[in-house]
Amino acid sequence: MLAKRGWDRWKLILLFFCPAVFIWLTTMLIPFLYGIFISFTKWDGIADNYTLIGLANYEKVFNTSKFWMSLQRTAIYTVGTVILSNVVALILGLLLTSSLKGRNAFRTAIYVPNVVGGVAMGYIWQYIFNYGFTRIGQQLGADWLATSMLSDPSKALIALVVVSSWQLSAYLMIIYVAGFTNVPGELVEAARVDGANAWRVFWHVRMPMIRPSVTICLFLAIVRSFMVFEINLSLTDGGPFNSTEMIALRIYNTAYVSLKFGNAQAQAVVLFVIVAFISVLQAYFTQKREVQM
Amino acid sequence: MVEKRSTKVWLFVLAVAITAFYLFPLVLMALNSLKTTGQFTMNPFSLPTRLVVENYPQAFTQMHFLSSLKNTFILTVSICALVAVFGSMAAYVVSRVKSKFVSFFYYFMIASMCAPFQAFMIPLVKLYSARLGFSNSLIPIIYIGTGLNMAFAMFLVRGFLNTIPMEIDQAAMIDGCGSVRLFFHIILPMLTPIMVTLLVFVAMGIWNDYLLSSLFLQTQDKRTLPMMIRVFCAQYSNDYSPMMAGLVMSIAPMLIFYLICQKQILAGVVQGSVKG
Repeated sequence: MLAKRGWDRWKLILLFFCPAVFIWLTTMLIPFLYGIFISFTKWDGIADNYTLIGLANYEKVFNTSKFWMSLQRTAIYTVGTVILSNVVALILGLLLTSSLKGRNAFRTAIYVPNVVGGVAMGYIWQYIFNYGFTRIGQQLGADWLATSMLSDPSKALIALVVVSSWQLSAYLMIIYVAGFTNVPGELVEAARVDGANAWRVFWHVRMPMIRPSVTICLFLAIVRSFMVFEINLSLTDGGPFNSTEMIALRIYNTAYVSLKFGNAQAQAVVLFVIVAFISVLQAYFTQKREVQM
Repeated sequence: MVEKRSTKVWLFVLAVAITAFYLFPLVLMALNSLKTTGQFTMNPFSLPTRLVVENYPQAFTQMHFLSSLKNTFILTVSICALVAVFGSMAAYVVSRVKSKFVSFFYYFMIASMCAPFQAFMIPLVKLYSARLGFSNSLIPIIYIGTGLNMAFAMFLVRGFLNTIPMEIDQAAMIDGCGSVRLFFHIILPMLTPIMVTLLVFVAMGIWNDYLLSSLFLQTQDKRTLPMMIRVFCAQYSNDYSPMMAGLVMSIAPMLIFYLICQKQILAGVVQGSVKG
């Protein structure tokens, strides 16, 4: 009925829909297109004049080892974080949907790390790594714990994975809890009556039922890890010796520390392409699954 | 299903241990905010021998707590209000009007949700700071923050609107209600549950945001809480105990908010995860 009256329909679109579209255009689409233009220029961010240099920024980005190293590091970090956070979250999800007393209170408490922003979280963990864990190491006489992981280039990345997974697993836990809650109780009951043990009930009944949640959590973790910034900034600031500089922080530093804005934007466009590719993959997998069900 | 009593007890113990693991950094922070820096570096795990409350007033002034709290609050409230109004209005059109124009932009916006912020960061600063002259101001952050959350708001509200039957619209129309009045007087009040979920979720993101604010704000009087934490921790990096007190104060407002709205926040996590 609403859709039938031509004038009223356009008035509604103009008054209700166009403001939102305008805000989106001016904060996302136009800046994005402008960003592609910037990536073809040489610009120091301060002077108003820039020179068009074509694909030179992209050439430089792909030819510098720093970019590749950062990308490689981000990939390693992502694999570590995705696996660790999802395994932990899955276990938490199972535990917090079992017949546990006060499970709602546990859920609320475990989620708390996500309420605290990335910057604050990074600092708190920095002190724990620098003073807490070293203290334990000294007491136990364990040399590998006695020096801070954050000052060791070979271990700082592990520290970053641990802190990120600690926070992310609490987030994903909520999604897994929702997934497990939707598994019909009769199904689990029936499998038990048929003599399936706990492991088989989990693997053959619960897991197939929560496959949508698994897909969501995997992709959420991949995308989040690829774009990690705030924890990276406050926990290690890319150090020691650049050993933990992830791609998002690298873009930030190229722009606001080295003042190479064109180059930074070219890196940002590459990051965009990677994330867009992951999202298309996600859409593909989600659709495929829907057809099957 | 019936489980053995001992299994139940063990599950409970396990859950307590896991919860302790997730909360101990915050507990350590609170504990050490009440000690002197000397006691902190000696042993971060010891209980305070005497409560050193002086850390709090010291952090309070060094962080310029009131002004950064005020700025954070202004940003959060303004963005939430704008996102709620424009997002729900647009979602209403998406849900009720069949139009190629509308669905083209809607799906385009939905697709843009997964784009990394870094792809917009430099051009946004260039456009709003250099070209439009908004430097050291909260206005571009409010506007950009609204834009970045718009698609998510439309997505969430549209899902909810699709469950409200069209007959309600039609009945109001027959009674002579115009579409603008219909939306604000009849539809909007019905959206309350999803709006709460949406706003709580958006508010958490804005409250904790560091990057966007840091790009536009330079002077002390304009800084937000997350920015202040960073400046504070970098500047006074040898005085740990006041720093812990500062962290406690900056986290406390959000933590209280979470304890009040936890149901909506956790619901928002689940509903928000379906996007993409």
